[in-house]
Parts: sequence; C-alpha cells; structure tokens
Amino acid sequence: MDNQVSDNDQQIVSVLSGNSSPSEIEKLQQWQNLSAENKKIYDDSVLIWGNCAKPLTKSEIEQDKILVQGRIIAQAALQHKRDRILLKFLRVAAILIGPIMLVAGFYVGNNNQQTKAMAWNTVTAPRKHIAMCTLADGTEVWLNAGSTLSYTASSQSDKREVKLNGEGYFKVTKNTKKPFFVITQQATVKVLGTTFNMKAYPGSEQIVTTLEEGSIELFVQKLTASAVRIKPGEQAIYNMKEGNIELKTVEAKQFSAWIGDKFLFKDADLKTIITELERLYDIKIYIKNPKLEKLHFRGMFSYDQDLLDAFETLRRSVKLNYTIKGREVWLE
Amino acid sequence: MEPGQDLLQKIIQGNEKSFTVAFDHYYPGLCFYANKFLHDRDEARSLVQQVFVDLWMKRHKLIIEQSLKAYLYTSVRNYTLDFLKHKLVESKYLKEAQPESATFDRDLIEEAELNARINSAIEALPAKCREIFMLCRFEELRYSEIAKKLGISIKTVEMQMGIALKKLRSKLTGNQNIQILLYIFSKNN
Repeated sequence: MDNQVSDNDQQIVSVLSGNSSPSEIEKLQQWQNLSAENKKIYDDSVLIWGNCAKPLTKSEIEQDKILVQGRIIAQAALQHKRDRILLKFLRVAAILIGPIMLVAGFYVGNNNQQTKAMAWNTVTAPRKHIAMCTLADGTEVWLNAGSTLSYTASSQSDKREVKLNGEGYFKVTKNTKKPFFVITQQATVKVLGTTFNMKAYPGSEQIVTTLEEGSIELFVQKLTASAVRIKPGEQAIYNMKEGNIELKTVEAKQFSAWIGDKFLFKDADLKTIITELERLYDIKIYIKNPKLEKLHFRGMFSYDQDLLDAFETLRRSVKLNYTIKGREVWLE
Repeated sequence: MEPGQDLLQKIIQGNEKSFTVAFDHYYPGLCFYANKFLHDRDEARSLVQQVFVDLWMKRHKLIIEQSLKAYLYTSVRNYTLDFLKHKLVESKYLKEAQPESATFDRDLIEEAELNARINSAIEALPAKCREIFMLCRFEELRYSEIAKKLGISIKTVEMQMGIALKKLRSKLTGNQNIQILLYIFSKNN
C-alpha cells in the first residue's frame, strides 16, 4: 500500500515539475478521475508545489536575527544622544553603583525611523590573505584572514552600518551626523570618526576592541543595551561567558600589526598563538599536553613566513616539538 | 504550533526570549508576505527586520487591540506601502499592494503562513532528498540534469522526488488550514 502511494507521488511530482511525457500526463489524469481520494491527493500536491517559494535558509534567518538585534542597539544608541541629560545622570548613577555598564533598556522609541530597505554586499578575506576595502563614505577597512565584512550598497542610506565576522581594522570617516555602526554577533560598536581594531571571531569567547584614536562606544548585544565608552589606547575585552567587560590600557598599534602583514605576540599564551596560526595557515593544531596551553610566549610571526619557520621559532624559544601530518600538527 | 497568546504581553514587558520566539515563528512568513508586494527578496527581509526593530523599540507605546500576528502582518503591509510610495513605484506593484477587500488581505496572510509551513517542512526533509527537491523546484533543473550534477541515476531522482512530495503532503495535509487554503486557491484561480 505504501509503495502504491509512493508510485503515485512520483508520477504527480514528475508531472508538476515538467519531467513527464504527454502520455504520462494523460495517465495521471485518468488516475485522478478514479476516485475523490485520488483527486484530493493531486489537488493537495498542486497546492504544495505551487506555494513553495525559495525558502530562507536557517543561516539566513539567524543572520537576519543578529541584524535585528544590531539595529535595535544602533537605534537605542541614537536615542542616547537625544536623551543625553538622562544619560549623564545614568552615568553618574553607574559610577556610584560600581559596574561600568549602563543599562539603557528603558529608552522609549520615539523617532520615526524611515523604513529604508537595502541590499548587503559581502567582502571575505580568504585564508592566508588580508583584504582591504573602501566603503562609499570613504571609510577604510582591513580584514584579517578568513574574516567577512558585509555593508550596504547604497550610499544614500541614512545609516552607516556594517556587519563584521572575524577581525577588522577600521579607519572610519568622520561624520558626526551619521554615526557608523559595526555590528558583530555579540556586540556593536558605535563610531563617529576614528581608528580601531575589532576582533570578533565566531566561536570565540571574547570580543576584543582596541582603540587607536577618537572615541567609540561598545554595546553588548543584548536587547537592553549596555554601553561602554572606550578611550584612545584602551582595549575593551568583552567576555561572553561571564558577561563582563574588562577595560585596560594597551599599546594599540600592536593589535593592528596584522594589517602590515605582521603578526605580533606580546606575552600571549600558546592557546592564543595556536588559534592565530590555525587561521593564518589553514591548519589544525593539537596540543598533546593541555598544560602547555598556558605557556607564555613572546615573539613575532610574519604573514609571509613559511609555516615551518613559524614552528621553528616556537621550537627554539619554548622548546616545543612538533609533528606535521598533512594539514594537522601535533605539539608536545 | 501557534505561540502563546501572552507573547505580545511579554514582549511589551521587555522579555527578550519572547521577542526571539516571535521572530523565529513569524519572520519567514512575514518575509514571504512582504515579498508578495515588493518582488525583491532582500528588500522584503530588510523591511521585515525594521518591523521587528520597531516592535521592540516601541513596545512601551503599544496598545494591544489585536493579536501579535495581526499586528505584525498589518505593520509589514503598512511599511511596504510606505516604502513603495517613497520609491514612487506607483505602477502595478502599488496597485497590487492595495487589496480591494479585507478578505483578499486575509487570504494573502494565510498563504504566507502556508508558505512558511511548507518551508519548514522542506527544511525537515532528509538532506539528500531536500537537495534534490530544491534543485528541481528552485533551480528548475530537469531530472536528467540533477542526476548528472549529483552523479546519481535518474531513477534515484524520481524516487527521491516522490518521497519528498509524499513527506510534504503528509506533514501538511493533516493541518486543517490547508483546507481553507485549498478553498482560497480554487477561488483565486
């Protein structure tokens, strides 16, 4: 019985998709007329076939959800400006209470946002390469290997917003009327005009934002926005697991060294270095002894450096042995 | 599978989880609905996103006179009309976007919802079966082309297509909505 139905299904779908000959179409017609049940099966099939529109994929829906969250943050940030007096008060309150985060979730939406639809363009830096692009407003973006940047194609857009997946170095053209937003999966940065580096790789527990010049605000991606202002020479590390933001003073240039094809480590642990090497050379690295992960290392790799040279550097300075099999490397 | 009635209430109270639930449930259907007017998939998506952004941002001001579903569909329709007016595309699209009667509008919403359900049923097909079905339905490849592309026999394509249809039908016809839609469908044609 089950096979019987399946056979009919094959014929129906073959007719619907235009893969049947006239005689087969004729045969299906006759089958349909045999009973009301057959007719119903056919009608339902036509309805289903006709109402299939190319579905949004799961990943498209997920991306769009992130975009909605990012826009909520962006819109809330614009309202911050309007409610500056209240914000000032909040900041004082926040200092008094202790945590550096400002909860601004209760801002009431009152702006008549014009609905402007737009199409997204995407730039991806292939593995082992750095990509650089200039946006319509003159903003320059460097993308680290394996990272992706999406931006709106229209220059007339009333918003300046990009989506970052991975690591990017931004030189944002100043425009105080139109703030620039970098939206990542877990946090959004609001920029007026400045130079900064942002590292937000998917799957990583941290988002690291380092400011060279100007001033930026970091919003943690929750629908109720929290903002942290970062000053030049400061680095904000948002730890997603613990949900806190650590602010520290750093040598900002060091974190954008990669745009000059150099990769710098200053007192980094082996785990961090390995993650970078994996991305850089498109390989998989395993550590035999987990204790080694905490091992600290100081040194420099260059992007054009040979992979073997990189491991030789490691071997010489921290006495690590390595075994390479295809694209997999074992360290011990 | 309709989310609870208190969803809108919870969103207004600022419950992020409820907002996400609403997004997951209504987003695909709303995009399909917007696309009916806009005939542009990306624009439709962007516009529906803005509807959700505004739902959250203006939640304190919302006056609940209708269900969340009705609110979302009405908003999407108003935004599309607004968008089309701005774009000054007054030709055939705008005409299409102004339904002659409330019934027609309701039909479109039902259609959008059916579409969303079909999509999730397609999503639930076994991987190989789904791939073949999508190549056939959306890339409009012939059976022979699919067989060649995937390195399988035409017989296998035929079989998988039959399985796909059967699965989709058994998943969707249990739903009483399809009866309503069948009625709409026959009326519109």
